[in-house]
Amino acid sequence: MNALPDNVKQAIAGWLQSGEIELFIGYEASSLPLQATPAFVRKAEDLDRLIWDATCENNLVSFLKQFRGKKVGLMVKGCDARALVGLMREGQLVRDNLRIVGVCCLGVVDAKRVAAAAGQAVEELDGRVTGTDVLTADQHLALSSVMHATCAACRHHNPEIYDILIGEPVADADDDPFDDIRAVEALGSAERWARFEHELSKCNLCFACRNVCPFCYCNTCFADKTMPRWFTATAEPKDIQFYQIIRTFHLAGRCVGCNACSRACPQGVDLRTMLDKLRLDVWELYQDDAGVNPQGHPPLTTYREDDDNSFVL
Amino acid sequence: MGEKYLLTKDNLTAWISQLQQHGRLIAPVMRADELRYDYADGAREVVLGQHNTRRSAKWVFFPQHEVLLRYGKRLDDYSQITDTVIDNTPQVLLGVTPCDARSFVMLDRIFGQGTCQDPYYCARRANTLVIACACAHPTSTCFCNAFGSGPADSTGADVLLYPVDGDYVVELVSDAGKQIGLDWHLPLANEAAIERAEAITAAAAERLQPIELTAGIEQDLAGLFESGLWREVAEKCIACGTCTYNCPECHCFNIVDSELASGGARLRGWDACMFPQFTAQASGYNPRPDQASRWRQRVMHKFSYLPANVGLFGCVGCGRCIVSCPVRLDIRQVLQRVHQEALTRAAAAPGKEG
Amino acid sequence: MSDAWEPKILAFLCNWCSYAGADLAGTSRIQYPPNVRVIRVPCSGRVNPIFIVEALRQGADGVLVSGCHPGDCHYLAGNYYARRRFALLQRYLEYLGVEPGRVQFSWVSASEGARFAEVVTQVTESVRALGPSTKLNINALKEQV
Repeated sequence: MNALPDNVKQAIAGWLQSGEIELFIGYEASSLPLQATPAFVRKAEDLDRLIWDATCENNLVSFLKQFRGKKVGLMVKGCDARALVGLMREGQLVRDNLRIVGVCCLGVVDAKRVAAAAGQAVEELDGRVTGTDVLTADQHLALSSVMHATCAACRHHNPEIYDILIGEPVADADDDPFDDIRAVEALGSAERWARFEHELSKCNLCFACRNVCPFCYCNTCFADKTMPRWFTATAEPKDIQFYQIIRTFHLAGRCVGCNACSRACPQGVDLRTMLDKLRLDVWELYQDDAGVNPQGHPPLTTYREDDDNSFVL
Repeated sequence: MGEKYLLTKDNLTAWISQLQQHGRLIAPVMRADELRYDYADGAREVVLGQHNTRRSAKWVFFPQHEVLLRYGKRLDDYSQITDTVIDNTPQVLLGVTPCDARSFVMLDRIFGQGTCQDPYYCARRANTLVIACACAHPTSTCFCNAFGSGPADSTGADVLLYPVDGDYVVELVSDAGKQIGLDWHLPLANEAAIERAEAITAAAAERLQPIELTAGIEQDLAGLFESGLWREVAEKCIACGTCTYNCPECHCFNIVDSELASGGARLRGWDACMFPQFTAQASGYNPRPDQASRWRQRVMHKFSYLPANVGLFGCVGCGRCIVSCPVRLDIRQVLQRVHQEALTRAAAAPGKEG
Repeated sequence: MSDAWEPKILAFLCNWCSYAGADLAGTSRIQYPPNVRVIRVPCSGRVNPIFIVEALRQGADGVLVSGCHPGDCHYLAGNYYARRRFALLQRYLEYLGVEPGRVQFSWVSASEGARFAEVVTQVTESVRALGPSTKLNINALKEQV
């Protein structure tokens, strides 16, 4: 694990001391191997705790919901920075209130995959990361072989916006980022349903996906509303499917594909292949990619008279 | 300790079939890539002696949701209310870890004893034989030793299995366990097997990191109700229900009516003190308005209120909340900070101490 | 209970065009299948996607949303916004494995009574061909238990 570079620490210390920000959100080591934990720093002397490496999987932008209108600094990976941009487009964030340490990211470790490779429980791993190598007690794994599935599909390794950048920009593949979505589309209807049912059979409705989503900032989620009560939180698969369909669809045209939800899911539900379908369709139908332009309108808050009408009877 | 018996690997399948004669089998099985307690078809599916499942076994007695009654939609006819029939199906819960078995003792004090006995819980509990499997694989997040427990704790189990290189030494713990155990006609375990069993669990106990979390925790907490500590602890909490859902001891529930056009059902389902809606009142007022006060509730409930009210901690040290937390909030660290904070306060105000 | 299954279709009709179109079909005595249950909404733009999924959840075999033709919205652009939402929702539900044809959309004006009957006939027949809806349908589950 790497402490932050001195120039970055100095910059953050400067922001804190000058009052440009009152809080910096970064990462520090947790009590579990290969997984960092969010850290909230208010004093320059605490900056030594902060780290950046491939164990920093959380999207810290999620925490900005708690600090609306406050001046906050934070670390963002490429995917996380897209969430910042998307939130700016939705009028949720003001750029001037933020001080952003961007990191060029090659992917973050999925400790569960490392555990599977090592034949151990996650909490039993004796693991560490150096650059793009993941070392366990007796294995030397390439990061690319044990990173989150969400990172394998990533085409946004470098932050769109930042004040200071850590690392050298990484080349993004310019192949089709949605090839696995198209593969699912090619399946038969029944097969797709079976796949969806199987995936959501893992869900236990803890709401981690919603709570870490930077875009789930409704004051009261439809799932929590009692008047009208749309949803009753039961372990019934059909209730879970209902919740997941509605929550993901509420992100249509807004989801930037940061995949914080899939990484946060303690049950390992693959939400990415649901949300990426929406991103693909939004791109195909309306040529919009949330997370690129902080100006403009989300595609479902606008229209064109010549929008696709072919699906209408 | 009573007699101990030997269950060899060759007899395991037949023995599990015997258990299935006794009742519906629930055991650790692989489902959707996850090792979890679920209804098992037979020995072929059962995975014994692994480390803890991600989710606890509490649903067997206290399901994530259950229907208490159903009602029709005709306003002029209230006779359409039908209570749920209490389920007295005999069950065998096989292969729970000792920490899970121990959690049932606490749940019993909440749902099964005293003036408020929950008929649904009690029926399931009374009809379920709990066969625990001593723990040979404690992990770095296990801290049952902080509660005076350990890998071979038989509290809460009817029968305890000790894994011995594929075979099992069988200890009949409770009266129910002794009664049914006689039907199995297992041979007595020899000295060597018993010694080996004890050595394995002793080695497992060795692997647990020594940890002191509970000494004086109730007194420490008593002074910290208004502490700023809770805000710091809660800061990175994302308010999901993972820790409480996976916890074997968390037992807060909510009762709601689920309405469909055809009628409705009154449901009882798990609640979680981490949810912003927890204890929200109809008026909109919530006595626990922020995540800090909800975290205070979580810690106070487990380590102060429950010991005072039912004489047991609301934690068995299984470590599930630590492993599954999306932001890796560690309850052990929280408790250590509670101790520290209490010490700091005591030092700052020596006159008030003792 | 009758022995022949008949599809249940929930129709969200906008007040200004499609509902009036349905009314015209009725006053003109045009025959169409009695399988639709109509919910009148002020505008197709009022139809929250959750209404559609909830309808399937509560046992509708099909859902039809109908509004004013593009350009004719009483509120100028409600149906344009709705169109984007529905295009994505229809694709999304089909992607997840809901059979194509369960959820359909149409534009029917107040003067198109015959067109309304045609749409309803078409939707009813396509849903009939699909059979009873079981995916998402909470009632389908209770019958199994």
